[in-house]
Amino acid sequence: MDNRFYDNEFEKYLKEEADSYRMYPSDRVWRNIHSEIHGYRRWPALTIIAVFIISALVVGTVLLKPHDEPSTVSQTTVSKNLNHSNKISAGISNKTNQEHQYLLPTKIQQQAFEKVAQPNLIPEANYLLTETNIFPLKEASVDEPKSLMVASTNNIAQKDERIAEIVKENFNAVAEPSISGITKNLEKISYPDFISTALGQINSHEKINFSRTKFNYNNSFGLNDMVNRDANINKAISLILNQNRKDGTEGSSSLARFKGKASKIDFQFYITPSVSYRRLVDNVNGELTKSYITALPFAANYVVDVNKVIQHTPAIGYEVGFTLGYNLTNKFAIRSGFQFNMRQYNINAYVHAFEPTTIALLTGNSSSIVNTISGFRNIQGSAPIVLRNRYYEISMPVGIDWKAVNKKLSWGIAASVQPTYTFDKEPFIITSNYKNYADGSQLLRNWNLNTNLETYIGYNTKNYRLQVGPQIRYQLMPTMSRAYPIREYLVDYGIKLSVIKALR
Amino acid sequence: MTEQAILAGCLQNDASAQRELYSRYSPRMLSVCYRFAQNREDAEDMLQEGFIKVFTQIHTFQNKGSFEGWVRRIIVHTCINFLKKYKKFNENIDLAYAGYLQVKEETVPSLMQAKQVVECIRLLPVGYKTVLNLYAIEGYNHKEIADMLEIEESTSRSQYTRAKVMLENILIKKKILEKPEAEIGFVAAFKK
Repeated sequence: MDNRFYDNEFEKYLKEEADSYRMYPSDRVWRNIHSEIHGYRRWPALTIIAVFIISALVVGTVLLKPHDEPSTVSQTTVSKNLNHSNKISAGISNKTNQEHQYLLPTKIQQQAFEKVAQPNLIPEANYLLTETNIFPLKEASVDEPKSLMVASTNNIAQKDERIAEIVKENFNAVAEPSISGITKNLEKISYPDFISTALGQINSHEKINFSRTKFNYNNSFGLNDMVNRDANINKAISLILNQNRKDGTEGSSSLARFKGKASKIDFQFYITPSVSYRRLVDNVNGELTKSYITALPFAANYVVDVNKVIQHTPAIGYEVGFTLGYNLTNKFAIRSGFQFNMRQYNINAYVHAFEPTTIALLTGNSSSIVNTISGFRNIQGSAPIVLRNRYYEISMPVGIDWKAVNKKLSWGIAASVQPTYTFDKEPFIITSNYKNYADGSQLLRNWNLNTNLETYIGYNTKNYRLQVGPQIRYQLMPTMSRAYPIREYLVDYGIKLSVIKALR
Repeated sequence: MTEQAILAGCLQNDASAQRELYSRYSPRMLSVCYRFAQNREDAEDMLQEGFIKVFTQIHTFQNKGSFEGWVRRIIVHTCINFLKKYKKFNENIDLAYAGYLQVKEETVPSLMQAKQVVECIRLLPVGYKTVLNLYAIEGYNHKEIADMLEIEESTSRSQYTRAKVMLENILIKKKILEKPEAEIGFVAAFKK
């Protein structure tokens, strides 16, 4: 400071010059300050739009019954169906008939079988007998396909005691005594040999016809796959039974404005435990299914409500996902992201010998029939089982988020539309006569559309908002393709837990 | 509207009073921010942040000293905090660097002298510019500056000395200042 005078002069000069300088900020600065202090200016249009969209989604999700496809089935179609029905019931097989499709399940896994409700009531002998029922025992030939297709307990009843004894003897001779051993040996022992050995001791004539039976299946019905599948399914059942016995159980189954600076973009992560229900809608007049019902011996001319026929119960599912939100105003945001859903429900059914069954399809102005087989019945039997329909879905929710209250505690309503892809599926569907459950994976619609509606309470911290609230998720299009006359709409009720972080 | 009325309005969160206060002080405060900032956008961000603090903390003003001085201190601290996020204040630049600093010849002569001086200050490296602004213009001493910038007091002194020399060279080069007589110093050299 040996030249302080000079310093003071220099600093005085700089200060005077600098202080006399003025700059005028842009309007943006004041707008931002104002919005920070007083919040964003309200735009009634956004609120109105939000309320409108939410109302529409509510109506579409909860109140509006899905539009039923107009009945395009003409009298001739009904006649055609009746004709098909009669053909099937008569056991007439036509290899060249293109309308006859064979729906062979390829993806029914063990998880689909949830539980056998009363395994303790099924003695081992009966269980083995049931397995033999699965394979047609009655003599068959090329000239008599009818007898092959109609395998019923009546056929077995005549010889069941002897068969059961002989089968059990043969089985025990090669298999380990434990149930798990039985399962292992089921893989080693081919059904035809095994059964034919048993049958051979009853009637050598039947043994000869048995090999012919297999040949006929391969060539006329493609049922060789069915035989293999029988073994897999029965193995799965035996595993469940085995497990249940081991356990000794009865088969129980399974801010926009956060504290501080306004944030335009936020990231949301959420998880929603949910309970999945479904709603079934038959075609308008039940015409198609009625035709099958009237084909029954009773010829009952009535329409049955499918919801009263099927016994289904909800099951626990979940969803997990993330979204990016853009806050248009302090209270209104749009958001989109990706989401994974697992939804499932249970169907009460009964194990039964595999039998042919049909699914009627509506295709435009005509109809066609899918012939398939089923080992599960909807009518009461001795071996109850719970079938679980499970769907894995990914979707891209696009929605709106309106916070009616946005302070330290917030309250809001959100809704979204979710284009959805179902990438893994193994559904059982009810057949047209409501009698059986068959594999419906080939009829399942891959792309669907879901909506969700939620309300939540949020707690705002500096950079995070924690939200919790109920959510309803509704599937807008039927699970199966339009051709399947019984339409299934899934509904999930859940509690959504979210964490939202302001990004900038 | 008097300053007292404005203050009373701001205390009641009245938007019109806030707008009045903003209109009254924002031009001067933006020039303060501009001297600290690298560009105008940064300066406006500093101003915005500073005024939000002013409005949200206005109840802490205790009528000790001028209100403008209170606002200015908040703005300056906001600028420093803004710079702290990105800049280091300990950098030392060789004085020879001053000779390479360029001011666009075509723009400087057309500017008013005040703006010329401000633009020349902004040409300084961040550390020099900040210390010079705080010491020579805002009136903080080196200890306060050292505390604010989290540097040594000696660093503040040396930065200021170097900044002053560098600024002098720039001002002379741009003919805003005349070269001083050898032993007399710069006093006579200021262009009046």
